Amino acid sequence: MATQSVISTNNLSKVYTPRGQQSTRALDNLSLNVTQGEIFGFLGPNGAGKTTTIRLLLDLIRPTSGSATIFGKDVRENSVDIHNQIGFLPGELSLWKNRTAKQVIHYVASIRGNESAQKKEAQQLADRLKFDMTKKVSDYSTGNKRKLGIILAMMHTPNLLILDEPTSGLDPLMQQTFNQMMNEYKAKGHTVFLSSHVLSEVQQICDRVGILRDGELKAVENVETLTHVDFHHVTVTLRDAVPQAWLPRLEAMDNISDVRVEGNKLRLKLNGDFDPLMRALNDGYVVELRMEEPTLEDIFLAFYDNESAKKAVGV
Amino acid sequence: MNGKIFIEQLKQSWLQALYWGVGVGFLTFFMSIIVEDPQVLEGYSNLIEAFPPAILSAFGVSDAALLTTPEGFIVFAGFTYGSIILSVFGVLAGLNIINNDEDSGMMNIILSLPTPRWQVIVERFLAYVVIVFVISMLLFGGIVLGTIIFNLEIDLMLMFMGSINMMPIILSIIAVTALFSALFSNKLIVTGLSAAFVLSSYVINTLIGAINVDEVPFANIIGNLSIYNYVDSEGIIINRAINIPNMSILLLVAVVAIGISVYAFENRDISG
Repeated sequence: MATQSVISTNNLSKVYTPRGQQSTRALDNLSLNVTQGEIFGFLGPNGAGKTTTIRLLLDLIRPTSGSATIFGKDVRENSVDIHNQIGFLPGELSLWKNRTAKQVIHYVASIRGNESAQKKEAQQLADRLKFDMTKKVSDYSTGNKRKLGIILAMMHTPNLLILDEPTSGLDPLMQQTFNQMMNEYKAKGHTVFLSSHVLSEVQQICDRVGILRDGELKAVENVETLTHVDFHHVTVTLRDAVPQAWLPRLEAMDNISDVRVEGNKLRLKLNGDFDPLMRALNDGYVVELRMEEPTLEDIFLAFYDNESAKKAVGV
Repeated sequence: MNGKIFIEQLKQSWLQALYWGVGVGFLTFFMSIIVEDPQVLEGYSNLIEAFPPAILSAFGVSDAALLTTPEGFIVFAGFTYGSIILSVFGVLAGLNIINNDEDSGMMNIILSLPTPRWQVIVERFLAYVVIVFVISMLLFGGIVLGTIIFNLEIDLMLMFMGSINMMPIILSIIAVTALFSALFSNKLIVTGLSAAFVLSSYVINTLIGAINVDEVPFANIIGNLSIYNYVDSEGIIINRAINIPNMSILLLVAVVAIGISVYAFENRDISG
């Protein structure tokens, strides 16, 4: 079955020129295809151009050059048609503070049309997200505002969801619920385009991931390929101080690097199997052994082996 | 255009409109209290007659005797001051058309819905036409209340015309503020430009009123640039009719400003 392109950009670029300041190229010749029924993650550090891309797709800002289509229609020429079929969650959700969530939901539903169906769906989403719609917007916590944003984006069951950092502010349980919702949504044949700077978030739900850095799309990979980075950050906590003899022993090993000692903690980067490390530690009393997932910076480094990636993630 | 944005704007602004309407209604009611006492009015008349004609002209009064009549006093103190007070409302309302929602980020949500940008401006402006009418009627209501309570002999038809006569200048200020919002996304810049527009218009109108326009080159042309030049409250008492050409000029300013706002807003980036 041929996959249909839902989002397509062609050399899409955006240059910001604030008054009296130097121009900033926020997005540089982005060419991207998102196909129907997939969850596409747009991964990159803050300032990489993720939100700019989303705002261009929504016709909130206009491209300096290039073009974009959604459902085969130009985003500039057919914005109203396109907006009928998409749900959008902005990174920073701002709503009228003195209105209740229910009033906001009814207002948005009234603009889209088919109000009763949307209100019914909104209630179901609210039940699922454990969200009380009767409070004023100003009384909600960050997480609850996020839930309201998700309801507003999904209550008309759009064909495409565009979500900017969707889970920021949600507690872990709600993040799980959100992930389930996205998978169910995908199972119905709908498409999700979400941006994130959290690798684990995209790892859990996305099919493909685009890596954006300094406004440039560096790679589009299947999520398994991207996250199959064959190393871990390991922290070993010992009951006593780390023996001096361990350092040269560990540094001499091929699959261990970046060894640091902090009191009774030993930190290192382990490539490949754990067994050589376990054997090297056998004459100490290990209290705790922790592994950390590779960070976004690690992914960048692994992919590009480029020191400038550190700058991109602000380290 | 389904009118949803229009209705939403009314829902959001009715309380604000009520406060302003009751405020200016109280002002005109207070004028009725003054008018009710002939001694106060006579004392006021003596005070006004002592003013140099140029100063009176600067405040839009060409005939001091007119101020000694109840209608004349209410026109001067109620409608002239009322239009100045409501100019502030005009700027605040104009900010609500684009700028406040853009500044808060709410515009991102609104424009992600199937809503063209022009519809946001046009429907919100039309909502403000209704709101300004309600405020004008509350202002008129203050006069009616004073007339009933103090059993005044006032031509209420003239007062009604005076209340309606205030609408175009408020609408033109709302539209010009919306125009600045469509051109610039920065709220400080928009507020500054709108305030400068209102203040400079008022100052020009006051200064031009105080000088002999025949003796100062271009004074007439400069005077015509002020929107307050077209608020002829006094003329309603003298001519017993609204100055339709002046009203049309102000309404034309509003329509043109809204038209340019739509064009400018359609062709710029939304901030945030």
